Amino acid sequence: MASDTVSQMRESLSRGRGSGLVRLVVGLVALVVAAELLSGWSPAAHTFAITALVHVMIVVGLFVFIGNSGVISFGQISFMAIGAYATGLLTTDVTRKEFLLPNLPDWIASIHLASFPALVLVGVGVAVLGALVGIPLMRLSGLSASIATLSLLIVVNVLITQSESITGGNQTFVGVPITTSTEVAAAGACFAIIVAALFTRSRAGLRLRASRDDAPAARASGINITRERVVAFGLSAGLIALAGAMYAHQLGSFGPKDFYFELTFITLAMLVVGGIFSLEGAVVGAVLISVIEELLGRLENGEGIGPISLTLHDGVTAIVLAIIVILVMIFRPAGLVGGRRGGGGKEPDDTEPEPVTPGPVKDADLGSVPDF
Amino acid sequence: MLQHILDATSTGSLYAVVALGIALVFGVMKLVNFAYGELLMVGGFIILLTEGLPWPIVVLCTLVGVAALAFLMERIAFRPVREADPTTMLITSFAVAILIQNVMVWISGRRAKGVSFGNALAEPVHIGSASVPIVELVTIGVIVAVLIGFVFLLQKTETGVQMRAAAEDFRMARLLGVNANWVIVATFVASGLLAAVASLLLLATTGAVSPYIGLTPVLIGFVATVIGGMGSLVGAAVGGFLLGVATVVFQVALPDSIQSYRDAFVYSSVILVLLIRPNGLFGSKALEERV
Repeated sequence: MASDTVSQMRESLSRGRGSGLVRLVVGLVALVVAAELLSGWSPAAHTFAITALVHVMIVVGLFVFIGNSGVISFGQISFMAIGAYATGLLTTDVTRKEFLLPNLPDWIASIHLASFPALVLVGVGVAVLGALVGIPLMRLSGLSASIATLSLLIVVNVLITQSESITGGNQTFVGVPITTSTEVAAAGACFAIIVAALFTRSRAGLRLRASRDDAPAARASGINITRERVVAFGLSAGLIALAGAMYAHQLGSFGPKDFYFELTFITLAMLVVGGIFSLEGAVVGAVLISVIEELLGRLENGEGIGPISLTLHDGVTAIVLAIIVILVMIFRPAGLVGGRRGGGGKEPDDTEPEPVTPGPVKDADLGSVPDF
Repeated sequence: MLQHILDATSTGSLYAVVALGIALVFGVMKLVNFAYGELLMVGGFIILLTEGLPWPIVVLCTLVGVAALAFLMERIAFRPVREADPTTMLITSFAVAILIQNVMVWISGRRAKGVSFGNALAEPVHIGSASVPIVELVTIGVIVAVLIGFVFLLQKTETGVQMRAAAEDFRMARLLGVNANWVIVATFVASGLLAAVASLLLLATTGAVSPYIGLTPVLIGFVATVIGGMGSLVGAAVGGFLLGVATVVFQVALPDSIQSYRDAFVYSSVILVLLIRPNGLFGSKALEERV
């Protein structure tokens, strides 16, 4: 079975390679051009363009792990928090750090890096950290893995809010140099997309998807599922940490609440609305939901969109987004892009697996469901 | 010491009820119902609305209102995705949670509101050297009663037996003539009633309601269900109880300097339990991978 799946994938990969590359390049160019045009329009649009690009990075990072492994992780946003705080500590001016965080241990207080080396260090560092955290966690599957990653989110949040001498606790962390321009954010998003596309096409990505589609068969074919997941988990952590670093450098300030349940939910919603198993879907979902969120958010705050100046009630944005997610789940459970071949060489089989149990009976036989 | 034991027992039994409500739905539908916490939250608002009335009426309104909401939730959101894979259902349920939460934000605003329901129960009683709020004793009593009633429902009534059968093996239960729609509706209503009980006890303890009070209970219930072993009702109740006890134990045992890290310890031990027993403490055979 697994060798069938693998050879099927091989075939579709070699068939899809040419057109996939074209799609990827066209998609990246479109993304960058759209962001640039938007940035030139107005200051608000500029801010939005960067926010949307950061969202793309996060959701692509989620896709690398969740999309390829089929394991829902609620913990990835904790790596964003770690990325943001690490960047903040590395790049904030030394005298300013001394003033804002007087109890900081000396060796952290004296570090000062430019933002690019800090980005590299944070991305690589958190990727390694993610892989290390993943070594025990990735032994779990399905719901247990989801709960363990959810616990990770909570643990990291508690550590950040309680380690006041290092992070400032519940206070907003301020004073990070503002260096995330549209170009930087666009470069970050393109980098994330290219890494995700390469990973999805790599042997490791292939093995991971084989384990997602049929875990016992993959195992029988000699795939070490835990190891494959650890790699993807680390890679995803690194990309999401980079998004965290970009976020920190976008506004210059952030707090622990920015990286908790709300963002976890909204980014997961972006991933599933676009199509959980497709890289293209991840990007489309991130952009689409960001746009809807921005437009409704503006109305909610009474800012108006161009000539429209109706004011929506507090909560409406979230209500609309929730309804969109419910409708997509009911009518297009594979996501908006799910059925099509994605930029990462996805074949339609992945999103609409043959039902192993025929008939309308709800699947109680979990043996046939590869992973939660 | 007695005081700590009572604290642990009442927290643990409250968590057990929450976990049971989640486990019930999970067992029958393989649905991780994130929106369960919002049932509890809406229950809190029903209590707020009816607070001037005599307490039996408040209790009745909460039970009926929350059960009705659970019923609607199943009909409108979850029935259409019933055949879908667990991921789709999970995502749907958190969308439903966010929907309900924000409808309450719309109606009532984000701020917490004080509730006087159960104020009288805040008075402490003295048992030997311990001084315990009455509400803790009431919580323990009510939950023991609810659990006994629940066991009776599951063991002795036709619907209860069908629910257990469906939780064990849904397909087999259907083949043997269990009506799927009926058993799922019954499960949702039962979980709604448990949420209402948890809501009443929780508000009597905390005395405040906001659109966000559902999150913590649902996380606890979710975690407890998995620690207990998915699909095992007893496991979920025990898992919830242990989580409550662990919370109180860490509260008491941790030195003051790291007291504020309590939740980090609680959830780290959750990860540890899962690593040692990935299928939970009472892992059900139905969930093991079959080839």
